[in-house]
Amino acid sequence: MALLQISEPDASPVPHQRKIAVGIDLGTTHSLVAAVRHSVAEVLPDEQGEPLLPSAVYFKAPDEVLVGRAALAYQESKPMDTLVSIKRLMGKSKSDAVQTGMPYAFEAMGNSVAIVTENATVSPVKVSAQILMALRERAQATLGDDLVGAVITVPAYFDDGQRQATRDAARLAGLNVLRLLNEPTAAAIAYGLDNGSEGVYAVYDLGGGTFDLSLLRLTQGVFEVIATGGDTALGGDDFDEAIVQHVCQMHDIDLSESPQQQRHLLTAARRLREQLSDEPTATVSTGVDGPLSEISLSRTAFETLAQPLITRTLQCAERAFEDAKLATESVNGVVMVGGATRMPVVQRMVGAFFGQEPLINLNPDEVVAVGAALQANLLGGNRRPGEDWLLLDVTPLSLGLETMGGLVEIIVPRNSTIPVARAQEFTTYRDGQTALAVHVVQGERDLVSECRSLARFELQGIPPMVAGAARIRVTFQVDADGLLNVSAQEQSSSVHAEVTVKPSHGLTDEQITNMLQDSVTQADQDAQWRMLREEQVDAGQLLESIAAALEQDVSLLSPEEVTAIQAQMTQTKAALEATDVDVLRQAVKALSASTDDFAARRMDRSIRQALTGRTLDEI
Amino acid sequence: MGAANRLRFDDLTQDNHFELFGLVPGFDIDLTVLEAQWKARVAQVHPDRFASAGPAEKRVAMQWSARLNGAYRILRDPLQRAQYLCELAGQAVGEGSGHAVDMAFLEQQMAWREHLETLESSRDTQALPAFTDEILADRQRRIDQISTLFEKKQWSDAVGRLHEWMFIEKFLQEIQTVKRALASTE
Repeated sequence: MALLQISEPDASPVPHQRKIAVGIDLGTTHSLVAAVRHSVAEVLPDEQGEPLLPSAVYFKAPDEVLVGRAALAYQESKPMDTLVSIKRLMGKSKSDAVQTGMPYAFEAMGNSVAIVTENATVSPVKVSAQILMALRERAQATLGDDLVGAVITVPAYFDDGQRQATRDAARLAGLNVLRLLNEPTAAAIAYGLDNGSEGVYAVYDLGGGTFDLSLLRLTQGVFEVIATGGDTALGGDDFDEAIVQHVCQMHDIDLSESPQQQRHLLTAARRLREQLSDEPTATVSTGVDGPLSEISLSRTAFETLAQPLITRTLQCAERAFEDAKLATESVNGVVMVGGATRMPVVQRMVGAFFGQEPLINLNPDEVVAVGAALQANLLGGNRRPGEDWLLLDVTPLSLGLETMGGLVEIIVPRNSTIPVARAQEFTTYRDGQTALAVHVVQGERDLVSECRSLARFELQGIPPMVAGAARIRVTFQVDADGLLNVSAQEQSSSVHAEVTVKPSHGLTDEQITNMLQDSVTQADQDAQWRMLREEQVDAGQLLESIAAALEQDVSLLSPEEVTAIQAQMTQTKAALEATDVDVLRQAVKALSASTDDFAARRMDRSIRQALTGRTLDEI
Repeated sequence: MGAANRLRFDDLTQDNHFELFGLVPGFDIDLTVLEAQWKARVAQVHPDRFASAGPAEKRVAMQWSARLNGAYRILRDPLQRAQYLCELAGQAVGEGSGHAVDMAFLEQQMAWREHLETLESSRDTQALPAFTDEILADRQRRIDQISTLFEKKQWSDAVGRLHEWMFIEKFLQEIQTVKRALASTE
């Protein structure tokens, strides 16, 4: 990557260099890919013209994977092996997975979970990667260009583990993740840009498995999320479960021991629920023998079942309003997102809560993907002159540390605008204590045991002092993707420890690289050659930009630093002559590392200039 | 990574929060101006602006954005803004700062607490809004006083009022808790 090649905000992209970036909505029930084509953001349909890819995966053989409708075709005959609603398992442990009540066989895989099917035992990350890969292939076939990257949407209320798992899945699918974008925020982009709206908007997003509510303030091209609330275990699926429970109770049948029949009934319940959105009563056949071979329900009876679930969503909404210090009356518009908002009872209750008719003029299934595509286009650098906006999102859940007595000390409160960095000082509690255990948690409860544990690490090598004398500064940093990084430092001795939060559920960088390399080694010679060419071009550009930067700003470096950079440049030039792509890659990596500080200093100076508007001489 | 790790987050704090947004340090600031200044600046340095830059550039952009967001969060909240002003003036705030508590205010605290307990035990949700309004009015009086004290640079007195304000904020939260508890057991 070139050193400090910052383009002017309004510079138009080079016409011949089409950089296609897509938006992907990785949903519980359906997934979609969208892109900006001919200046319009649109969902890319498959060859049959279908925009929605069912989020279903079936391993027909250990290395033969079916995705989408082809996988769903097996749901009748192989309900335990046809993987659906897997998003609910992202970033979860085995015990979390069992608690969902999903009818699959689970097995612990380290701290996370794997699903055991007839032909393969797979992690939710790998299943999601299959869906993303299918969408990537669809995009490449439709657009005929290489993808520079993708914006992947996640529920706003996803915790760090769930976000990390989603990003791992995208990387596993060979996608360059430009940004993890919150689903309601994506929807707001799609709506806001369409209507040129200003003011406060509420996005009510009820998907297949998750619920989010975000309050946003739109002003002059800035989408500022003020507060967000939600439940990552509440969605359309729960309405289906309520129907199944209801009919089982009516017939006094216990299905907890037969997951296969349960799956059949859940699928039938979804069809029943969808029909009830248009009809006052509906009947569907289930494929189950006995009294439940056919189930029917009136809309009124269904709405009685649905009410407690919708009330739960409105309680989340109430809390978001409290956090935002806003009244429901101050909302200019309510945007409905997610297939489950098609239910008339949802629209009615949401309308009553907000005291206004919700907006349903954009397709609730597609609006998130369309917003993600718009953001991807912006980040990919294809923005047209005058078309510009900025997203300011927030952390959905408070982040903190375990302190004495199993209590949580909050460092980053929920609804903090990201990126955010906050530091807090802690001290030792025993004389001569040389290590400090840091336990990072996420959640709103006072007790550690009731929050989500994200990571544990230890700061070692603290010089022995009397209790309370050490000053240990713990810094939490959340980036624009909502991902957390925690570091700790003893102030008087500069002992440093750092952790990027992920080990409990995510994959390590190494695991991802290995998995990706496995797929590349199988590639043909042609691809190998192309990789070398690309690497050579990149290396050439990097050398050029470093040479130019050195000429301009050598004053930012000490003579030793200049020597070190020059040595790496010589090595890279030598590697350029060779034909070994790995040697070249290593040299480029070392060169980038040696110029990292230099690039950061130049960037810092450039930002200071931009912020103050002062000229170079005055700084 | 070079030896001089001079771009860590801590070192970005050389300007004070007010100057960062082109404002003169003071308690009475125009929140509309603050918001506009914050948005204009964060729009320039947000990592989204450097999506195609290298990791070092992205990291610096993220650190600057975090710095701006943190400063904005403090300045837009009157209580945190007041605390920050005291800090800038070298005045310790909070427990152990050695400020004597005003006896009259202590009595006031006890009276308020008793009143809240009465309302809670008698489940008098009707009276809660009026009680809240009374506290809010009291808070406003203190904020006005603090504003004047800041202007006159009477720091010690300002810190005293500030402690009372901090108590009132906590007490308002207690009222909220009671309100919610009563609503949920209706």
